[in-house]
Amino acid sequence: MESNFEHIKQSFNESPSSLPPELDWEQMEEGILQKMDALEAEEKKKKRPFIWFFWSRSGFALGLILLGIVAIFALYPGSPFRSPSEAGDQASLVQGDESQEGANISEERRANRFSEEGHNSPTEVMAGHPLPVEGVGSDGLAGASSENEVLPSIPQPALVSRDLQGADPGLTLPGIPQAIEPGSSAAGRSEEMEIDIPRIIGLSDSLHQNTSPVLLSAIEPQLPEANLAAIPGQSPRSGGRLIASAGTNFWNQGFWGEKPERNAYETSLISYQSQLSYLHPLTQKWGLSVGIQYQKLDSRFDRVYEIEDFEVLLADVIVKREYNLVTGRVRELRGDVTVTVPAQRSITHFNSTELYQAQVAISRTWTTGRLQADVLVGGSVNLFTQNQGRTQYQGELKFYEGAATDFLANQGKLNGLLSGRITYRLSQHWGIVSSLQVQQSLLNWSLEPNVRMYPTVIGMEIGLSYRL
Amino acid sequence: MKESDLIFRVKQRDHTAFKELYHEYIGYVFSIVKRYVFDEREYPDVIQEIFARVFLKIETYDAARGEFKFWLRRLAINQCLQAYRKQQPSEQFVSLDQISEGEAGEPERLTELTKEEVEAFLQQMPQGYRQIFMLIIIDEYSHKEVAELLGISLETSRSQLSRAKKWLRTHLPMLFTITASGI
Repeated sequence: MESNFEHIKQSFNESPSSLPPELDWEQMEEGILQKMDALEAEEKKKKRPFIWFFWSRSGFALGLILLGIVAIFALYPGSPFRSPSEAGDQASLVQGDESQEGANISEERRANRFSEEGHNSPTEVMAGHPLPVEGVGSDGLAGASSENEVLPSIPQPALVSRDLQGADPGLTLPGIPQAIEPGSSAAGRSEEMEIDIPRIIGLSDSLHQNTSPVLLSAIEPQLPEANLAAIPGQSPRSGGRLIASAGTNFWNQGFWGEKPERNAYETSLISYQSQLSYLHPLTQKWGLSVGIQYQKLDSRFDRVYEIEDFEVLLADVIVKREYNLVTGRVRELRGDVTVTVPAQRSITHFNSTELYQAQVAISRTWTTGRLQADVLVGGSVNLFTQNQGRTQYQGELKFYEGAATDFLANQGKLNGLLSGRITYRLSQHWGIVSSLQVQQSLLNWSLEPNVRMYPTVIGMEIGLSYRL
Repeated sequence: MKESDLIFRVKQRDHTAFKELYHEYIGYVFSIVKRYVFDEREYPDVIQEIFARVFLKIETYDAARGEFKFWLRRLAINQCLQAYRKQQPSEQFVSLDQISEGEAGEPERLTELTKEEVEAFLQQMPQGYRQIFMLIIIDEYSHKEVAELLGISLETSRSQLSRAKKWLRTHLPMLFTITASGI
């Protein structure tokens, strides 16, 4: 057998002794040159979108990263993107357990701010000068002579009531009486203090603007960070949220008017999508969401063809019988016969459309305890698309691939977006997100006359959110 | 002229060199095309496509990585298979089981056939496994390469080759019988 294969191999590797005349250079030259031109043009076409595709994607990713960095800096304490007063406020809120050294740094920051604002410097206070009382209510600190007298110690929230109990009844913080009912029991006051911590935080902010730095330095480090974390979404200045999620989707190709031929052979399938978005709070309830999304939309093509002239080779069959009239013997001649039979050809192919989208939406947020619900309304644009598959087009089986095919184009098309999202906060930063999204194409994908294609995609996702 | 000089000139887009290269390799390319393209009317078109790609992509040929002939053969086979796929949108390996296998005999006399007779004989092999037979036996592709090239599984490649061999065993003795009986 091996020698046979070797012989076959040698036979095929030999150049033919003569070539058909149509393969002469003179006959072929024109065709080769034309094909070279066509191939070169095709290469150029391929390269251009690739370069654009590469740079635009890189630019988009870079833009998103920059946006994230800016958002982080904008919300992070001490950021150059924030005003000094905002930075100081935020710092005071998160430094609940900071060391004495930390407190000194905090004072230093405040000193800078106060010097900017024309207040007395902390050095003057430390030297025994009376505390400045500008902006403090008459029932506040007017009678105090030193920082220790103003507030001897507020080490922990639970101790606040005790300390206040033992203090001079006339010695109060401006605003705090709103949280601590005068005349109520010590226990009651203690409880109320804990419940109203956010209000106190707000008051602390106002204190920054109105009272002495020394007073603030005594109060601020004691504000408990843990309690802030337990109350989600309460601060109007709460940070933005980064959300990464993925899930399933289902789409309707949305043919209007005349149905295309392929509609009879294609069935939508469940597929998947994923997204990364950033929700920036504009107010306590309203926000702006920007993000990128990848969607894969699948369908199955099923087609059964009737083949009239399917050829089947019947090997080693009797092709002729010869009768010897003299001897009466029958001689059978065997050989291969090709017969034409009706047959069916069944084709199944899984088609896909991939969409890379940029999204912008306005969000409305509701918060209850650890649960947070967002409704987003906005739009998206298909930045890059890739369609691939087989379908029935103009009476023939058609292969297609690319952002645009003979019958559809979806790159650059706009979509309307409506999304509902529920977040369960696991900690101060992290949360679990589940969402339902409806996306409706606003522009026609179809390139066929009289056929309109406005796909609708319904997606369900689950993911993680990170509060900056 | 040395092959390397000729290739260098083609790389320089020397039109005369195109013609020389064509004359040098058309026979070789034609023998490949005959193996993989089953419709004779397609030969000129496929060959034009192959040479157009050779002239355009010759810059990617690196002599250090192998002979030009092997590079050309790969390119030509790929192009032939592409042309074949365009013509055969459906599955290539459907319904071949229907073909009668018959009793397997031991082929011993293939070596007695001329090149043309061998070609004519193998032309009768069903297309479904003829491609795989050619790729593996003649062009020494591995099953893995064939699977990748044709988009089929390794198992399919192996089973199609086995069928091709069986077909040879069955039909080779018959060839001589038929030839002898004058059919």
